[in-house]
Order: sequence, then C-alpha cells, then structure tokens
Amino acid sequence: MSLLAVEQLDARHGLLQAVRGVTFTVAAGETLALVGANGAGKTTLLRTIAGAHRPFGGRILFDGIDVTAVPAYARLRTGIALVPEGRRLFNGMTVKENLLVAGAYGNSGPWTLDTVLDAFPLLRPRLNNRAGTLSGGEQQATAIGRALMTNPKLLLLDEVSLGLAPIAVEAVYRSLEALIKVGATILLVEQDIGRALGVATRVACMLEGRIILAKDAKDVTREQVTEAYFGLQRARRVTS
Amino acid sequence: MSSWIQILLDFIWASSGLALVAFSLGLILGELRIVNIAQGDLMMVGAYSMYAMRGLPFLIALPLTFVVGLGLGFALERGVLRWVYDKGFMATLLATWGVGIVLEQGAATVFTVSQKGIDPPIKGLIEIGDVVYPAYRAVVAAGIIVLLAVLLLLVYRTSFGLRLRASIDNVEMAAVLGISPQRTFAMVFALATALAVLAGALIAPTIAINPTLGLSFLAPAFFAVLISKPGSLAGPVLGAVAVEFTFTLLQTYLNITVAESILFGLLALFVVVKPQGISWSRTTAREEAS
Repeated sequence: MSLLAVEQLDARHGLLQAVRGVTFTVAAGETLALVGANGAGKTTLLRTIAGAHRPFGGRILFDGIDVTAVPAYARLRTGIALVPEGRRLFNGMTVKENLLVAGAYGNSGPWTLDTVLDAFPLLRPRLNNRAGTLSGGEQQATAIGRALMTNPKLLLLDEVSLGLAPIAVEAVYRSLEALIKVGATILLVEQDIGRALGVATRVACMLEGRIILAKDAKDVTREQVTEAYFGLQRARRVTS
Repeated sequence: MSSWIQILLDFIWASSGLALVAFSLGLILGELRIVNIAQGDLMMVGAYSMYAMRGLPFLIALPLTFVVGLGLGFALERGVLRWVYDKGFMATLLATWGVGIVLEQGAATVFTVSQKGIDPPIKGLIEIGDVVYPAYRAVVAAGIIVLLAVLLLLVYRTSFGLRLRASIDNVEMAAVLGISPQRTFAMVFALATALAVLAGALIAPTIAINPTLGLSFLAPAFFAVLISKPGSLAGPVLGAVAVEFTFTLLQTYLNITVAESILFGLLALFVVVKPQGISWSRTTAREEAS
C-alpha cells in the first residue's frame, strides 16, 4: 500500500488555481521528484500535503487515513514533515533551539539531536549560533535536520538547492542520498532536472497545476522531462 | 543628593509598572501581530477589580484579579479578536479600540465616573538617607522586577518559551512543527491580559481610580515596544526603562505638561522616521511562495 495517496487535489490562492486535480501516490521507501517550472504549483502542492495550505477539493490519504481536514499542527504527528522553500528557520533562535523546538511535538524515533548532528556534522560547531547568521548550506542542513527531528515517515523537501553555492548543494545532496539509503520516504521538489533524476526512484512533472508526466526515473530521459517541464508537447499540439 | 535618591526611586517605581505593561503589549504584538489599544483599559479593569474586592485581604484579591484577567483575556481572544485576524491591521486596531471603549463604559456604568481609591496594604515608609519613601511602592517595584525576571527566564530558558518564540518568529512554520496557532494565540492573549490587569491592580492603591486611567499608560508602553527589536520580549522591558528614563530626565528640568508633550513629540517623530516599526512585518511563507 502507498504511504501517501493524493486524489484529485485542488488548491487555490484566491481565484488563482495553483493545483488542478492532481492524483499521485508515494510508496514507502520511495523518492518521488516533482519537477516543473516556476508557478507550476509544486510548492503549493507540498504545502497542501503538509497542511500549511487548505485544499479546495480532493483528498489526501496518509498511511491509509484521510488527513485532508487535519490542521497543520496535528498533521505533524501523523508523520509528515516539511522542509519549506526558503528554509524558514527561526532566525532569531540558535541552531540547537531550531532543532529542539521541532522535537517537542514530533514523534519519537531514531532522530534525536545527537543523530541529526551525526548526519550533519557541519552543524556541531554552529549549535549556539543564531540560525540567521549561518551560511546558506548550513541553514539548509538545519532546515532538513529540523524536519528529521520530528521523526517523519514522509519528508517533503521544497527546493533544497535554491540559492546555495554548488559545493553546498553537493553536500546537501550527499546527506539526502544517505537518508534515502536508510529507507526514508521523500517527496522532493527540484528545479534542477539532473539532480532530481540522480536521487529519485520516480519523477513527476508539473505544468500549470497538473501532473503531465509520471514515470520511473530509470525509464525517463532528460529530454522527456525537459519537454514536459516547458510544456513543449502541448505547445506542439496547439500549433500543429 | 537627597533629591536624586527621590528621583531614582520614582524612576524605578514608574519604569517597573511601565515595563510590565510594555511586556504584555509586546507579547501580544509579537505573537498576534495586534496593537492592543485596550491594554491601558485592561489595567483599569485590574484597578477596579481591586476596588470591588477591597473588603478582602490584598493578597487574596490580587491573585483573584489575576484570574479575572486570564478569563477576560481568553474571552476577548475567543469572542472578538479571532474573528478579525484575517481582516488586516486596521480591523484589529479598531476591534481592540472598541473593546477599550466597552470596558471604559462598563466601568463607568458599574462604578460611576467618580474617582475611587483603595488603601495600600503596606502603609509604612522606608528611609534611605534623609529620603522617606512609601514602602508599598518599593515592595511592588521589587516584586515586578522579580516577576519580569521570571517571565523572561520562562521565555528564553524553557521549552514552553522556545515554542512561544518559534511561534512569534513564524507562526505558520511553528504550526507545521506541531505548535497550534489557535491555542498559542488564546494562551498568549490571556496571559498578556492578566499581566496588564495585574499591573493595574498593583498601582491601584497609588492612584485615583477612574474609567479612563489606562489611557496615560498606553502611549508610553507603546513607545517602549516600538523602540525595541521586533519580536524580542526583553526589548519592551528595556524600552520601558529607556522611555521612563527620558521622561524622568525631561520632568526633572521641565514641568510635567511640557515633558509629556516632548515625550509624545518624540514618539510621533519616531513613527515618522521608522514607520515599519509599528507593523513588525511578518513575512509568511504564504506571501513569499505565492
């Protein structure tokens, strides 16, 4: 059975419909990469799954339970954790405080302050620094660590490489690969198609609020994804 | 020399009371992003509550008044404020203004507009050098300083405070991490209301109690919050000390009316120079993601 099942999900920002009838599943242990251009609805979709955005229609099933109406603060305990776009750290608080506050209401499990620091050793010397003073890579590590502190069954990652130096992106992806190796279930939003194909078991491409391509990562070529990414197939249909 | 000790004692007395009100105002502004115009009127409620319970021993009336404050704050948040959070800054401003008017009119109806007074529970005087000072004020000022120290320890050294600061920093991200915004809003407003009510109760024996007594506290408390760092809860306390220091200084050399005019002139000037200080703009994930 799939861990996450999204059925006919609609999400809006006022009159603007950002997510249109999206249906997909994520099985336990799988890494699904969601790619697509800016404004395709990826971030809204992730936020809706995490409970930060109220859906307009459709259902979200998690672990077999309908969580569509469960508010964000309660959804955490079902095992969904979000690493939001732009990281959204509590900038006035220290790294340690950022991590500990996430542990307060999370589930218990293998991830504790110590194990998170083992996974992100670069944070150890920074523990008592304010999050706002960290480098982009350190902030991203803190954001992922913060999500892990809740011991999630599903990790939602939104644009983890955005605004990072290439070397920091490399480090973040190495940590992700380590997570995937130990069986984490991840739904990943990524602009960089190459990166996405590198870690994902499956790829879904969003265009204008819809999923227009969903395939196993090994069966899909970069060109197919690029075409879907820019909506080239549709453009060709329209012009021919 | 003796006049300086007198000025110092008055300064400590005035800044302790103001610091408590400013802390409560800063707590509400930080968490709920509301400037509570009724904060002074909540002090008035505290003073009248003590007047209504003047037959009881002071140390029984005081905690009862605090409980009244908690209940009133909870009722106001659930009954009024939560309906206007989404309606913008001006709506929340008007809503709290309206609450203040209702409280003032309610007090005038129940207690009439004629001034009331209560006796301080400690009537003695303390002597420092050749200065004689009311013991009640000294005890209350010390008590408030201890209370503020405890509150700041709670905010900066406990897991409760950690969750509160996370929620103040980014309420939506805090919600994703399991911290219920509704519960936090209700709790913070109840606590902040109770603290303002408590401040009013404590100063009640030193002032003439009337329905509009809170107004003179609101502007300096707001000033104290405004000059502090957004989101900081130690800030309003330090801000109150700074405001009171300025006021004491002005008052020492000028008459009180001129001193007040200059103080509020400075407040107006500050708002003009740094208007973004008022709104403590909250950048939500929603705004940036859309």
